[in-house]
Amino acid sequence: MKQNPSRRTVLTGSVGGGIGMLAGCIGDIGGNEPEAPDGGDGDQSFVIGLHSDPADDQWAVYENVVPYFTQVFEPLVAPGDNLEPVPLLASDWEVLYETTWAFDLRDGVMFHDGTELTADHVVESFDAAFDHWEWLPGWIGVERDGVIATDGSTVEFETTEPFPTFPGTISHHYFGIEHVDADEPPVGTGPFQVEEVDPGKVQLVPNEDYRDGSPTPASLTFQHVADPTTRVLSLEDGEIDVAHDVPKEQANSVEGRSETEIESVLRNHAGLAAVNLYKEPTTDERLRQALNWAVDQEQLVETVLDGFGEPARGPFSKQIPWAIHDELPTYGPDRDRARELVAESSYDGETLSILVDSDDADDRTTAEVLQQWYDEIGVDVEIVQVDPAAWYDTFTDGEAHLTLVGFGSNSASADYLVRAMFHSMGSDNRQLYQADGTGVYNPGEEVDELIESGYRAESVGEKREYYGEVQQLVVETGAIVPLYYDEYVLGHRSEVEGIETHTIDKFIDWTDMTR
Amino acid sequence: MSSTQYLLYRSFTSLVVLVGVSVITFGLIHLTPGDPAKTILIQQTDQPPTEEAVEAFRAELGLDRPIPVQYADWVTDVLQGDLGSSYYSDRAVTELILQHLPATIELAVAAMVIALAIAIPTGVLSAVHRGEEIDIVSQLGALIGVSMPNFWLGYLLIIVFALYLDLFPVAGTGGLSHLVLPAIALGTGMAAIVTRLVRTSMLEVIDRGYVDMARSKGLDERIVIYKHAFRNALLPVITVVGLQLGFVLNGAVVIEIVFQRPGLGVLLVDAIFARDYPVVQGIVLVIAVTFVATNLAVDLAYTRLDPRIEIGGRST
Repeated sequence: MKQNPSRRTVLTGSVGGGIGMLAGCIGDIGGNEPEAPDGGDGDQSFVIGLHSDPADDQWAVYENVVPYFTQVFEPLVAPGDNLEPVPLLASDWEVLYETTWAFDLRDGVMFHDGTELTADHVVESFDAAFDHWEWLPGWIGVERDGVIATDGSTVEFETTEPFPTFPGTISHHYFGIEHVDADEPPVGTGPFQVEEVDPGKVQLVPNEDYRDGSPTPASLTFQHVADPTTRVLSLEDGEIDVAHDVPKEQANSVEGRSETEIESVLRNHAGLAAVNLYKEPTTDERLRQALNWAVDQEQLVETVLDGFGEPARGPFSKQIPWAIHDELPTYGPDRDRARELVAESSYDGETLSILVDSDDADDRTTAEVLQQWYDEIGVDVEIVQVDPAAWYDTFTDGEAHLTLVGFGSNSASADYLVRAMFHSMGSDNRQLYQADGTGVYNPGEEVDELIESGYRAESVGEKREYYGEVQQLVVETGAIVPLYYDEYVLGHRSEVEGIETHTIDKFIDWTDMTR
Repeated sequence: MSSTQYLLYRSFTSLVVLVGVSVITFGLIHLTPGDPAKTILIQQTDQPPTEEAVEAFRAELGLDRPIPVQYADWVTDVLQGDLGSSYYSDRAVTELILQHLPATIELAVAAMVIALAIAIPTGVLSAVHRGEEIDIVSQLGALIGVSMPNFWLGYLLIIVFALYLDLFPVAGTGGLSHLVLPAIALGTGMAAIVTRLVRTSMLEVIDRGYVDMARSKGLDERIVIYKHAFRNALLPVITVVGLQLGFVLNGAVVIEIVFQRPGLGVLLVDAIFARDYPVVQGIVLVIAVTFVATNLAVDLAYTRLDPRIEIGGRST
């Protein structure tokens, strides 16, 4: 006869199991911590804690090795120190016809498996990207069959329309070249090659045959540590050597410890409030200007960003070559002037809404500070928080009077930012423009034409002329309230040296890192 | 109602619950503002997407079809054992769930074990010594445990036990040592709730006649308490412990983020923020099945723990 377990047996088993489990835990302490670096002076192995997953499934085309930060794959073109497109795997390029670009490959580039890079490899790599991300043609203006190897070392790209910023556009990590048919993928040409990929972790070793010499680190482990506080605690504990994206409010504490240091770098990323030009009462230019006069950008940087940023005058970071920060007017702060403008405007006590992404702590605080300043000039404001997925739709639906936005570029081409933000057919305005001829913060036909001229311009000087005028117009008419140019903060153990930072954090160079 | 009839009846009602959950989840997530195509493209490229890319992505995901058609397709696939593929990574949802489930189960079981190991003796002692110092301390401890946000406790445990005492790793997975701090952080809140319940339940039975009778027979006080009082106080505790599964899963979301554990909670939150509908639907379905099964198991356990209760609603 089958016996059911008695209650005593069940209870005893549960408690015994629990005690056994706890005993197992305690017995295991210190016995299995593969990520912890040695930390000795001679150890050149490093663990880098990232806020994003370095083994993200989305990058299956690269066998889940995310090309951001990792330096395994190299694109044909890279963003230079001044964010200009500079040769990387391509030695140079030229426009053959209006829509045909020819890229010559650098001689003697070898993949990690010893295969020499050819134009066919480039075509195969682009084809793999097109297969994986079917939406890519809409981004780079090249169709699936528009990449052609004309000889062993030349690749031609056929764009669907004239696209002067094409080289800068493909300096994005999406276009890193990999050896698609390699026996043991993933195989790239970069200074580091893949040793192992686990969920949330990528381990790399140096490419000893790299054309610029073997990198210094004996190994690099990129580890996903999503929570910023945990990332900082892991750095303080020595479990990681470098913490990417240290929260600004914790940066001074990290700097204050003897065993950790920080480095901060001005990004090509600006924070601003987009003012809805088509929703009453912010349709009134005097009210929009009043909202600008009330804001103290310096104080904002000091209080909200803990000093890690610069006060903005325009919508684009000073780091972008055609940004005209120094030539733009400053508004204030002058709240008396702001109050006068409010009185002159058609504002009649309505409550203005500020839309923020609930996941962005800095934006939430910024909105609270703005609310206080606007209250001082007699403008009533409510803060509307929505989750990250709903934020962009709510913004482009034109539901708010002001929206806190922050955009930058991850490539040497930032032209698309001007188009996305201020052109009537840009992604931020297109929906409403097509529906009823309005938009969100697109000032209209004059700006549209300037953007189109800047888009076609081939030199930075020429772009600066057109895009500069756009920046003047959106600032003067109060289509935006400029807030700050952002910095990213990198924390590292004090003994770690040689990290070469970049304006775009995803291009940080680890090749000379030592301890 | 026989056992078989009861099981059939419960299976049918469970199926109705699961269909209801799937319809509500599907409806709610589609009603929530946020276009998966735009959201995922912004996440992937870290920049505003072009309209052309958004349209192409929507077509690729099948999001341009009517919502009822999308739901019907999803149900058809689920009935064939296919939960679909993630919009974000293109991986099978089943594969993603199976990859993340072990870490959550490990954490949930460890947290429950810790919670019960703390709560049962503390609750019994508190009831037996009602009004004494030990009772006051345990009540105060339970109040603190219930009130303390588990993410805050998590950071506190990391600072004390990882940074200062260097006994455990800060975060991550890889061994049982990685499980101790998250399990304590997650189990503490539950321990507090169960402690109070055990105390209340014990107080209800401790003055009953049969307990006095056991004492008057000269039995050892420990036998009186644990054999005669505690076993009868256990029934409501079992019910609540079963229902605490929801509490544990909720808490696991935060704890998994703080301790960088690749569990189901993190997967669900990421999927909700990315509007990755198939992953959200798949995980909610798995959680719903787990709840339904747990409740059924708890109901069935009653008959084992208390012979007076019979399945089907009659009792003696």
